[in-house]
This record gives sequence, C-alpha cells and structure tokens, in this order.
Amino acid sequence: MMDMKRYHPLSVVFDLVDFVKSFAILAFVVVVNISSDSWIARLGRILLLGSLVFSIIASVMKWFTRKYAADEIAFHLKTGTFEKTERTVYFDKIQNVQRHTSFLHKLFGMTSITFETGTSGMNSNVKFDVLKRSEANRLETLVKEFMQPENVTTEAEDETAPLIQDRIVHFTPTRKDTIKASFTSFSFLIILVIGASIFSKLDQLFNVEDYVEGWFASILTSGWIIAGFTGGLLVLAVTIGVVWTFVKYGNFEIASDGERIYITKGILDETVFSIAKNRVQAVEITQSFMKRILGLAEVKLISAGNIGDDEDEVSSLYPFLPVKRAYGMIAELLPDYEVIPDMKRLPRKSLVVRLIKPYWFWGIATILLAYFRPEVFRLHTGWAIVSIALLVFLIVSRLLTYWNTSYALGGRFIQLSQGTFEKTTFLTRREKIIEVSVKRTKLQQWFSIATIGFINRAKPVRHETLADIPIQEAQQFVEWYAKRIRDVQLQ
Amino acid sequence: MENDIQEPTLRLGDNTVPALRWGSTISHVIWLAVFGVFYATSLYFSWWTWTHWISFVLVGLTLISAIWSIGLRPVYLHKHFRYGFTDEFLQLKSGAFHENYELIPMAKIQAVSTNQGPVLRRFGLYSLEIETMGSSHGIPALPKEVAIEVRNQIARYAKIKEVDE
Repeated sequence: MMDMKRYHPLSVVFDLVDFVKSFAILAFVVVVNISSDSWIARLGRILLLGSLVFSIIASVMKWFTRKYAADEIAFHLKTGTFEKTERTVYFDKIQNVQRHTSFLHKLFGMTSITFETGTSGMNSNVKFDVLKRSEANRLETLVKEFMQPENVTTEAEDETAPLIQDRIVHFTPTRKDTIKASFTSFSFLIILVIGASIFSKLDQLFNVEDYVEGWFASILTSGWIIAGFTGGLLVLAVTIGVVWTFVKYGNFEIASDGERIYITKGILDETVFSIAKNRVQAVEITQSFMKRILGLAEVKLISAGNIGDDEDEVSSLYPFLPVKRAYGMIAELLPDYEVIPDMKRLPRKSLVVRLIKPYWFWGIATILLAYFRPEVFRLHTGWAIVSIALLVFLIVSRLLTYWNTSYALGGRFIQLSQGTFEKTTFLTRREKIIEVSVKRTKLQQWFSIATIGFINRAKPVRHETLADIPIQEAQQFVEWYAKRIRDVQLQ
Repeated sequence: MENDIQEPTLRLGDNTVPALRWGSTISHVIWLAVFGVFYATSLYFSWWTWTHWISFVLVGLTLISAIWSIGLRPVYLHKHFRYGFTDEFLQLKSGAFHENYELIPMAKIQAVSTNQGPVLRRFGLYSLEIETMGSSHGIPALPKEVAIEVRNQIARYAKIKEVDE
C-alpha cells in the first residue's frame, strides 16, 4: 500500500476563515444586537454558534479522513467521512495547472494548487486548498516530469526544438501599460460600484439616506463647492481605478520554457496558470470596440480543462496587449502556431445573402409596434420611426459583421475572424478539431454558398461557425480536415 | 466532399417511413388526449373562458405539427438521410431544405449505442446514437442486423486513440 499523506493541518483554519467570511454580515448584526433580548436575536446567536461548532467539527473530521499520495504516474486520493471514496487521477489527463496564493496563504507561507483534467462532471480536477510551497512544487514537478518529451510525442518538427530550455520571460507590463489598461477597462468606474454597495449596506443598518440627502442639498447651493467636489471625486475615481488595475494585473508576467507556458498575475492574490504547449487547444484574440480604437487586444489560450470563473479567468495573456505584440507573442510562445496575416474576405454574394436573409426580429417587433402603437417622442407615427430605426440598425450591423469577417485556411491551421463591434479571431490546428460540419439552407444552396462549423475541446466545448463561404471552399475545408490523419499520432 | 472523401451513400432502413409515422402518430394522439382532458376539466369546473381558448390553440398547433411530422417529415428524412464510414471517419448527411453534413473522426468517438423503443421494435428497427467529446449524433432507424453491424464497426474503429487526449 502506498504511503498516503494527510492534507496540511492549516486547512482546518482556512475552512474556518471561509466560514467566517460567508457569515460575516450575519455575525456583525448579531454582535451589534448583542444586548438585545428579542427572541430573533437569541435565535440568531444560537444558530450562529451552532453552525460554527458544526463546521469546525466537520472540518476537523474532513482533515482526519482525507488523504492523498502521488507516484510517478498518478494522484491517489481518499476522501469521505462516512462514505469512503478512492480516486486515481493519471497525470496524462491533466490539461493545465493553476496555483492560487491568496493574502491569507501568504501570511502562513502556504499556497493552493489545482490540477485540471479534461473530463466532464464534478470531479474534473484535483485540488489542494492549503499546502506548503515546497509540497506544491514537488507535486507540480512530478506532473511536469511525466510530461517530458520522451513521454509526449508531438509533431516531427517539435523534435528539432531544444528539449529543455531555461525559463524565458516574454512580457511584463510597464507602468504605462498599467495606466493604459486601467482607462481601457473603465476601471475608474469601479468607485461607483464600491460606493453604491457600501452605501446600500450602510443604509440597511443605519438608514443614512435621509441624513445624506440634507447634507447633499446644502452642498449643492454653491458652484465652487460643486466644482471642487466633482474634481475631487474624479481624482479619487482615477486613482482607485489605477490602483485596482495595479492590484489585479500588477506583477503580471508571461513566461515559458521548452514545454510549458506560465502566466502569473496579481499582487495580493497571486495566481499562476501553467499549461503544456501541446495542450493548448486553440488561441483566441479578442478586441472590444474600445480596444480596437486603441489598438489593443486580448489573447486567450483555450484549454480542455477548466480555466477558472469569468471573474478571475487565468488563461488570458495580458488583456491589454498592443495588437502587434500580441501576434508576436503567439509566435514566441507557441512555435506550433502561426498567425496567418493576410486573410481572405467573403465574396460579394455572401453580403447579398446576408442582407436578404429574413429579418425575423424586426418583423415580430414591427407587428407588435403596429398593434400597440405606442406614442414615441409624442408622435403618432413614433412607432413607425422606431421600426425603421431598428431595421436600419440591423442592416448596418449585418454590414459591419460582413466587413469584419475574414478567414484563412493554411497548412495545418484555420483562422476565423468575426464580430460586429467586438472582433474575435479564433486560431486552431487541424488535429485539435474534433469534428466538422457543412450546412446549407435553401437560400445558401441557390447562391452556392455554405456554413462551415467545427468543434474544439474546451470547457465548455467550443463550436465555431463561419457562414456564407463559397461551396468550393467548404469542400476544400472538409478535404483539408480529412488530411488530419497525417498530423495525428496514434497510440 | 469529392476526391479524397466519398459522399456517404448508405441509407436508412426501408420501413423507416411507417415506423416514424406510427411513432409520431402515437405521440400526437397522446398530446391530443391530454389537451382534451384539460378542456373537459375546464368545462366541468367552469374555469375562465381563456382556458378554453388555450386548449383550442394547443389542439390547433398539435394538428399542424401532425401534418408535418406524420405526413411529411418521415418521407423527407428517409429520402435525404445518408451515412457512411471508413476506418478513419464517420459521415452523416441529412436534410434538403437545411442540408447538413458532418465529418467525425473515428478516434474522437467516445460511445456508440443502439436503442429501440416499442414502435421501432414492432418494425424490427434500431436507432443508433454516437457520442463524441463535443456533441452527439444519431442515425434514426436501421434494420437490426445493419444497426448491430454498424455499431460494432464503429466501436472497433473508435478503439484507436490519438496521443494527447
């Protein structure tokens, strides 16, 4: 039997802190009303104490029963207080590794590490909430060593690359980048969110609204005070915005060695995301409208394993990269990928089809408007104006979508670029695509064009489509995909 | 779809059309019965008048859908559905108005299953379900021997796994 280890004892403390965090407001109310003798206050106190005791006991029991071990090929995990579960997770299923060090972790010199697999369902990862840095390093090294080139066979051209290189840092943002980022992301608006949430919380407790209203009215009497107040608020907003961005993206670093890519970010809460280069399923380059104006782009690596919530998605390379740098970085990080610079546009007939396709939404909206005839702008014909404006908007956005669409099919790569206001470029390799489709509606058959689609592994699975390409090219696409047999290695 | 890869040519079983017709007839009759019971209850307990209207609308929609799925769909489905497989790819093609063609590498198929409900059993047919990592595909009706043969073939080819999964 293998030597199974308990998790670090501090996990009990961390569980407790989590508990306190989620009950903080309730606890605060109970403490504030400590002198109160009403039955609600008493019940609250009893419930709080009860659940505190219960969660401590549960966490201690969990610590006693959870054990893990790692050998050269797999993790072995044992869990369950009453119902015992044993799990074995093989290293070759691991898609990416995330290390998260919160402020609390730092205080105790601890860290947390998550190994994401590509399987679906509840147990798709192996997570260690609290462990020593040295232990995290040991586990990560085990996984990394398993992934060494003698075990992982990729394309022939990879073998010419040096096997193990030193870690190269590709990018760290300068102060200028951070300031630019904080304006692009409108993070100075965060003061509104923070202010509103503080205000509403205070209001619940002390009913400050009446008080503030009177105060506010007295301020608004003088022009100078208003100007000063607004100016001060603006400075405060921008400062907080920059600080916020700095805390979130400060210490950002993109690095790689021969095998893996590492993305580090955060100052108080530090996150390290690492993925093996040949486990990158696709690359996605997104440009919001604002970023397009400023010439910035966000590059995301698509992994078959989970990549965290939207909030702290970690697979993104720095979201405010200058476009040229972004493309250059892809080439540096992923020598297997090539960004194809000159992409093809859709033919004119695709635009025709796109424009004459039925406007279902407009039709339904117009029927409703014609039926209810709401008065817009105090005009009887207001509903007609709204309907026409909607139609114009839809036509313009179809035009924009057409202008923004381009594609390229070259070598082993496919690259799609689409979007109306936001522009997204999706780049993947033939052998990473798991199936393809060609669809044609009657209208498309008349114009001899087709919609192609392909599916990539990700979480959730990515379905990419490109509408209205000439039928010959759709056929080429299928033939191109069928040649994937040449690229893939069979076990 | 030309040259390297042949268009799929295999067709669904011959008695697909009556089987699908029976299947959707039965389900439509059940729906009509449900709406009928609803109407009867609403009459019996003298509910609001709009409940009557709802049942009329629902019955109307069911009848329209019956024309499509009993009268037309089985014929169209049988006429336009094609499937085919080599040792490397599975191909599916269906539809005329919305033509749909799919190419799935055998190595990416994770599960194949044959299913048979009471109606299909009556006609000696099986439906086939093919699951990949990304989605699932179906062949609606095949004669028993063919279905089992196809399932076993796909299972055999799908056993080959690619590196990096």
